[in-house]
Amino acid sequence: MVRMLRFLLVAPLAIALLALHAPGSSPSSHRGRWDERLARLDPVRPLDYLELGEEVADAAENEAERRLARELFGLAGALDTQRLGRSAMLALAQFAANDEERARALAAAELTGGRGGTARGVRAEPAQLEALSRAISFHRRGDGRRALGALKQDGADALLDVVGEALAGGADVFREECRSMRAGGPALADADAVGRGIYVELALRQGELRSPGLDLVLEGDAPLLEIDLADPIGTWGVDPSRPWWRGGKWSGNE
Amino acid sequence: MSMTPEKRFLGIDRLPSSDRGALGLPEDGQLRSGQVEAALEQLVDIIARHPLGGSAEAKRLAARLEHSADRLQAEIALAGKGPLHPAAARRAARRLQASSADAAPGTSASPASPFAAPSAPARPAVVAPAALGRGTGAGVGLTADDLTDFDRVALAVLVVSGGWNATSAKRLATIAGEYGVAVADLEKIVLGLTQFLSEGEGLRGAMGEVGESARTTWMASPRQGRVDAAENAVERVFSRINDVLRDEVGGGSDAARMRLTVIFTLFALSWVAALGYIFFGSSGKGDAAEDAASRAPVGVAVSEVAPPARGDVDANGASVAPIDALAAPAKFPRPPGFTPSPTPPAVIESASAAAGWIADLEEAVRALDASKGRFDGGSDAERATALVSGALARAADAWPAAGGYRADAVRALGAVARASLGADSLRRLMRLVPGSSADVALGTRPAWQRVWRQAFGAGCLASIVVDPTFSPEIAAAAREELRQRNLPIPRGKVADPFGTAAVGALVATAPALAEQIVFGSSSLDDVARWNEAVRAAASTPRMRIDAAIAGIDAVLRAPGALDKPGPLVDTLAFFIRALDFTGRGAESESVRGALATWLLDKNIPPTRIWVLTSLLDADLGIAWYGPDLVLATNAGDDARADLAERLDRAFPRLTTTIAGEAVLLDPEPYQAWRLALDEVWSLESGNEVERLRNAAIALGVMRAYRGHERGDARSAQSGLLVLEEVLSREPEEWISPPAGVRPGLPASGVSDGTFDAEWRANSSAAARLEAVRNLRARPAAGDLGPRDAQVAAREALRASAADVRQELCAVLMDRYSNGPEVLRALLDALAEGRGNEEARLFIGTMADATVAGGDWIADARRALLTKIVSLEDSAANAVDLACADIAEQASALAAAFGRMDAGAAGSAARPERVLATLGDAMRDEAATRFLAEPFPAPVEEIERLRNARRSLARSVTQRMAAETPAILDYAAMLVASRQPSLQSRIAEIVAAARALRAAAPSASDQLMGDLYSALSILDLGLAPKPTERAGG
Repeated sequence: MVRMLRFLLVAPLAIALLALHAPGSSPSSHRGRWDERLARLDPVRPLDYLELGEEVADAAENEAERRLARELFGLAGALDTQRLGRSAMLALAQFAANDEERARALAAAELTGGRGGTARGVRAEPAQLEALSRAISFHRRGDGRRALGALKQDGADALLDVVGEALAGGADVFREECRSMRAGGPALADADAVGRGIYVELALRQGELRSPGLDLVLEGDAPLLEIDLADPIGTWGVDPSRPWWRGGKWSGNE
Repeated sequence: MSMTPEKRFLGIDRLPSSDRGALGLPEDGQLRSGQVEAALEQLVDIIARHPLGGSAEAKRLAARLEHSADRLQAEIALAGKGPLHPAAARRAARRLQASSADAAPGTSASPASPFAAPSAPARPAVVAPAALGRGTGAGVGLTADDLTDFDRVALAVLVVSGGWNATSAKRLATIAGEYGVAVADLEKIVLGLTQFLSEGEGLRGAMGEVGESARTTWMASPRQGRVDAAENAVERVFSRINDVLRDEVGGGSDAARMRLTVIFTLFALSWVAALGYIFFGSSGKGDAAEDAASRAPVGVAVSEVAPPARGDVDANGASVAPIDALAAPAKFPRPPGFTPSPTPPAVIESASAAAGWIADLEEAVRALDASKGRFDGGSDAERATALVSGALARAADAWPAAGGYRADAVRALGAVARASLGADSLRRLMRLVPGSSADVALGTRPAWQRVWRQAFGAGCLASIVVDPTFSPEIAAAAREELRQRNLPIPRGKVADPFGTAAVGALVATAPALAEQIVFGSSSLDDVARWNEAVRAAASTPRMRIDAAIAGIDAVLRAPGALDKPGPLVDTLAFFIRALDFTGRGAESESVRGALATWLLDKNIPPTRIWVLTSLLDADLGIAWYGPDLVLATNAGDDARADLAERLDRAFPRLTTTIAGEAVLLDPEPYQAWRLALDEVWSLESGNEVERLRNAAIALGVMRAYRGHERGDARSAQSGLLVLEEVLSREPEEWISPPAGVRPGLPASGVSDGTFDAEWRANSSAAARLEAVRNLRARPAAGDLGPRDAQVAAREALRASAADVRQELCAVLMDRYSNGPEVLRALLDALAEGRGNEEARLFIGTMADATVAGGDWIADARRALLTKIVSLEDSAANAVDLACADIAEQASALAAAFGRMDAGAAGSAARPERVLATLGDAMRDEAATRFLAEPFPAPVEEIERLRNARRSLARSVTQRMAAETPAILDYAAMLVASRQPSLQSRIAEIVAAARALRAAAPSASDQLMGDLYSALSILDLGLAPKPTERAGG
């Protein structure tokens, strides 16, 4: 009986304690488990930030920990851009919310410590290109069904995804137009759409040696990704003058 | 044939005989000091780069060039055309030192020398034209020894005042009388000196000696005017009367009383007589003069009545204002000032063991690690304490002589701080840093060394406080120690925390040092050591200048007499010489401010300001400071305020020297440049074609800059013409196809579908042949409608009846091969699948291309597409044309930067490649320029980023935009190397360009923005050539 009473008293307390320490219970508790190691970080050893960031990223179970990992990578990169900048930025790229953010992070990695790789513009395999060319021709003639059929051959669909924006304002728009065409219907009357098909196909066929005008049609005039390395907060998302973890937050030494 | 030095080092047969020619400068036109220096530097640089650049032959050639430059500099200085370039001044200083060394006994004064003078020339003699006649030519045969005292002073005044002008005339007129030289003779003397300078050889290497002796003469001569003499006489008479009266009154006898009565009676009578004469006497000459003046005819110009003497106008014919009554400057038996004593040998010896300080501090870190970071009294902790305190004490006693070891010691101290754990340990460590009041009170160190310790301690602690890499606990301990020592605690970003804090601590001791000099407890040695510490700690000119200002301030407020020779006035003169009065740098602003503050500060008596201004006047290195800026000893507040205002006006402004190294243009080309820039800034940039066009124009205008820089007027003009040429194109010219082939048009009056209807109406061969013949018969037809074209193309490739198919092919080839609809229809017809040999030949003919191979369909499509595009007006053609313009201008600009191979490529090359070549060319040019520190970034970093951007670029516009940041950076580097004073403005443009680039919505925006920014930077490097001499 006494044992039963003791169980009844202790069990809720134990459950409450367990709940308090269970994974995912609260963001602050998750950041709290790194407190001791965070407090030992010293900006004289920026590599420690990167290594701890990797550990936090591996073990992250919620947004607070993922944010902490990002902050650690950011501080590592900001404190020693020359040595750790590229690694830190590549690590940050894995947290990117979308492709654009990821591309930006990768570009930043290149600018902070890249040695000059080679970026390739749009390129197509010959069979892929022939299939897409047929699709464009059928689309121009108003034969949507056969255009869709051509897209299914030799990976033309994948190439359409790459050049769809230049071709028709998006690959899905092109496919949708093909689907909506009736059999035996009239040829495409939109001069602009006809012209885009001509220029995109020629640009693809001319490859790297295409003229600037054709290149602009195919690749567009998007800006070259640029980051301002003189602005560490904008680049790394952290303030490198506050590298000390004190009282559960990043602070300076004043 | 042996190779001459000129041929070997400069690639020319022989050096031209004229100085201008030798330096490659234009034979005509006014030169600037900076221009001469730039030319000299370029040639000396070429010589130095030669593998034999260190040979005696090379040195002789460089010396010849230097002599040519010196002669030109002297001409420029005498003509008053702008300030002397610092490099020329430094060279003159080196010569002075060399000549001083040569002047040692037994060297220059050799009796064998025809110019050796056994004693100084007699004072009344002047060199003047008469003396010049002694040689075979003007000036030849004369040396500096032939100059009289007055000649030397006059020469120095002429040089520092920028030649014969109103300022120098005023100064020379003031002193001429004191040397027995009539003002009327002044101009002759000046003429003689000018010839002596410009043509004579005697001054070479001796200008410094002339200047120094002039300074001594200026300061030491009695220069007692008639008024001074009269004042002295009156003073002596009154003193005598005073003595007599004192004796008589003090005597107390009857005889004395009688004599006193007689004296006072006579005195009273003399006063009555004097008053009567003043009030009732005849007006005499004064009245006569007034009468004469009143009888003068009304309306006669003043100038006619009293024409100005020739001496009232300067060399420009500008009127020289009458000389105001000036305050007599303070005089000293020798020029105040002193040469700092060398660093004491003990300090040098201690500093030579500086590596030991670092080793001890590193050892202390290990000992501290062994004691777990605690200064807790354990053996390891005690050892660490001894090591730290010993090393820091030695460093504090000798740091100004330790060079880079000082920074290493501070870093090592930081390592010790990092190894310390716990607040108590950190507190103890900070107390070990020398310079606390308890520390400086210990021992028998000289006063200057105690000051050194204070400054060292302040610098060490500030370095820890400001460095964000120290933990908050360490920083807090250092801050607390600074608080305990009553030292200011630095906050925020400080570029050089040690220097700032150490100089601050030294400045704080300046008043005490000045007082100790007054009381004799400190000497000029202490001032020298104080100054040595300032120079070692200050990392910027601003810090040094602020310290010198603080030194002057302390001397002016010290209690001792300043108008008597002694260490106090020597200290004042020493600090004055440490200041920058040229107005060249931003630092001179603080000098200007300090001068005004002293003049207006009522706590500083006017007598002290009188001495200060007298010393400034006496310093012939401060060219703009004249005797009219000396404050009178009895000056009131108004006079001080007035002088402060005049002094502020006279102080040279930065703008007067900023164009020193600018590319100077005549008014007309400068106006053309400005108009072109205005036009560029106002160009529309709404689409990518306009932006690319603008980029090409910007490159053209950059070519114009380069042309001006190289003195190539044709190239400059051709660059500006690009603007007109590109903007004059009609819109149709932009979009029309480059080959000029016009597309065929459908026949008018025939509706689309006619051929289709005829084809469908009857499927017999004869009917279809008829339909095909109708196609041929269409009047003036070059194309079909889409529907007819589709049918014609399909049947031309696949019609079952061969004769019909062949006829259709023939018609299409004959009449419709330039028809865009027909060609498009053929392209689409190819999508149906493989055609036969006949179809291949037919397509080849239609596309004007050879179509061959097993997979000929791909070739055929490509040929057809190319032909279709070549027949159409399109924006792509405009883009191609703009890019061709970019390539053409960039290749021409690269050629102007020395890449002649780029010039051959012209517009046919790919624009991104030509821009890359341009970047390379500008980098190569920038690499030849000297900058004290890389600006805006080291070349390696610019190139690294350039490569990184290339790796990110995908499109042509992006690849072009990957090159332009480097072009911008190199433009900044080139202009900054010519005009370092522009760095801050250029840096602003570069930073703005970077921000603009990051926010640009397109690659063409980035391209255009970068080139526009580069153009803005180049614009800073151009300045209009002055049409008449400035100043006077």
